[in-house]
Amino acid sequence: MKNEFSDTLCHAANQLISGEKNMKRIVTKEDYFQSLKNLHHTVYYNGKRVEDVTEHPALRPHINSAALTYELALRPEHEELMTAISHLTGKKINRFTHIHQSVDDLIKKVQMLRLIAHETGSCFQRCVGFDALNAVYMTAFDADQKYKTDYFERFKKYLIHVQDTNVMLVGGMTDPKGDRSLPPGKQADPDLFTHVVERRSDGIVIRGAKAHMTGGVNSHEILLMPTQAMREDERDYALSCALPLNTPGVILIFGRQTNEERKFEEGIDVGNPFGPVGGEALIIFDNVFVPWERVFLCGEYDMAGLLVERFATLHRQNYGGCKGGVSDVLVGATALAAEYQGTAGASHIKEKLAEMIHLAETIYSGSVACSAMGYKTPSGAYYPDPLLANTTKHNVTRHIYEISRLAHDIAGGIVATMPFQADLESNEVGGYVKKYLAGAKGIPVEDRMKILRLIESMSGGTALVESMHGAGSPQTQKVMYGRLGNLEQKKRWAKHLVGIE
Amino acid sequence: MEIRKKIGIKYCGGCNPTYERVEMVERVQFRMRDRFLFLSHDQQERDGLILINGCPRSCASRNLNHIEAPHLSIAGESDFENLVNWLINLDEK
Repeated sequence: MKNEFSDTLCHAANQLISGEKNMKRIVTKEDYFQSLKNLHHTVYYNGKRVEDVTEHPALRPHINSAALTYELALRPEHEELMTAISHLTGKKINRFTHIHQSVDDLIKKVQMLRLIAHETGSCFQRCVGFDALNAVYMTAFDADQKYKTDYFERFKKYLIHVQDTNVMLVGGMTDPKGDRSLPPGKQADPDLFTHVVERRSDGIVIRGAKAHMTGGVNSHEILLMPTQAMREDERDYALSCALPLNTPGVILIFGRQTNEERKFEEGIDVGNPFGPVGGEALIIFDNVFVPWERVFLCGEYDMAGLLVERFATLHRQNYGGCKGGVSDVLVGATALAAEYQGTAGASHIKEKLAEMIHLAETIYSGSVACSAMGYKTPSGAYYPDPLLANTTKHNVTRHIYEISRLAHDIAGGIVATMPFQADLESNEVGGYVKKYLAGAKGIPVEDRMKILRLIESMSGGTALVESMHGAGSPQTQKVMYGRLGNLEQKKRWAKHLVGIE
Repeated sequence: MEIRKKIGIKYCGGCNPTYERVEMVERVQFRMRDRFLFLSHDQQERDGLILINGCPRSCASRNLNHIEAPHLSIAGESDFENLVNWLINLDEK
């Protein structure tokens, strides 16, 4: 591992960034695939360098999922949600690059996420960068007000670049954090929190890593933010900046998922062709140069907490939208499984399906509510109600598990024990599979197996953990209740009601 | 010279539609193809506008200020015949 900054790398990074000015706008999913082929970023999968992420079977499902954020924006039946008008240029843009200009925009974001999830049944990854754009936009403005910096103007130029090129961003917040009992500066290895290691006349050099970066390997750029509130002696960790993922010194290591090998298969055994969740990566910054025009916070330690809170709120707003949409698909698959095996008429099955719908609509309601109660920030950008957004995400950490438990309950143990597609097609045992996996009359065994495998893919392992820890673990939401829940006012109401002075 | 009347089509975003909106429009287009030319909603010259909504919230008309051309908003599968009759009436005017 290199520990010294290299002038060669710095020069290469400058060349690369200046070359972006000629970058072609990404419009279609084919443009998106080609742009990833052209990126030549450093990606590792299972110990080996990946030369072309678009051709790798373990990465392709996630890339196909993200590609829908481009493809659906071109369809007239979805443009109302998938596109917006840039407040900076007046151009029609992909909503994933938009800064919310109204409560209506906040609600449309949630509706858009539900719509896309109906198509993928999985994570489509692009919301993270979307939320990072909005959070940094608001906070760069506030930093300028306090410190007379020029972050906001820099960021607006960067935003126009993102809107014009339609690149996909990773929102980079979570640092590895090492020993959680220690602050960034007291870690045995200071790089466990991403930080500035050198300030130069033309930019900064950063070192560290961001963990669990959804859509990392198939994004073009990363927008970094601090991982937590910082103290005065942690100025080097109060950092926000953007850089292309092919910048020298950036290394991406794809994270192994549950049932990872399914993605190498075809047909029924794949389950969900868009993968179980988004595809996460550990992104390493090994002495990476970032020019000043891409730096949006650097040392203003008291703005770090605000930026973290805003990103977290914007991201937690999403979860009833995307997970609500994913749950719609899982409810449908579970209802089909019941029909295919002849249990759909049983009263307890109807009751459990109703409960699944109730839970899915509950999380969606939360996302709509925190959007409807959103408000304008000093920057002009709109922001969801933080208490309601946190409540929504907290419900997701519970309800997705319960929805999945009910799916398993209804679908039966066959979800976990079903043979391979090759067994179904085998000359030797295929007849037995068809005979003993037969369900209701007239239902092809192949259809039953497809639906059961989809349920397995959507309701276990990584998909569940993502609903727990994506956008922050449940405890991070509970911490927000303590800050935003206004307990003292609640006590006053109780006292007033019974006449306590 | 084109003698068919021009009809603009504007969809809501389709977050959670209660029916297959695109399929319904395709059925209408097929049935009325000899009488009408169906276009995107943002075409300037149009004789009518159909607002295709996935549910009764009717978001397709949310951002439209004033619609000068005759228009019809539909929000469910049951509106299919209404839509066909509306188009026939429009054609006969």
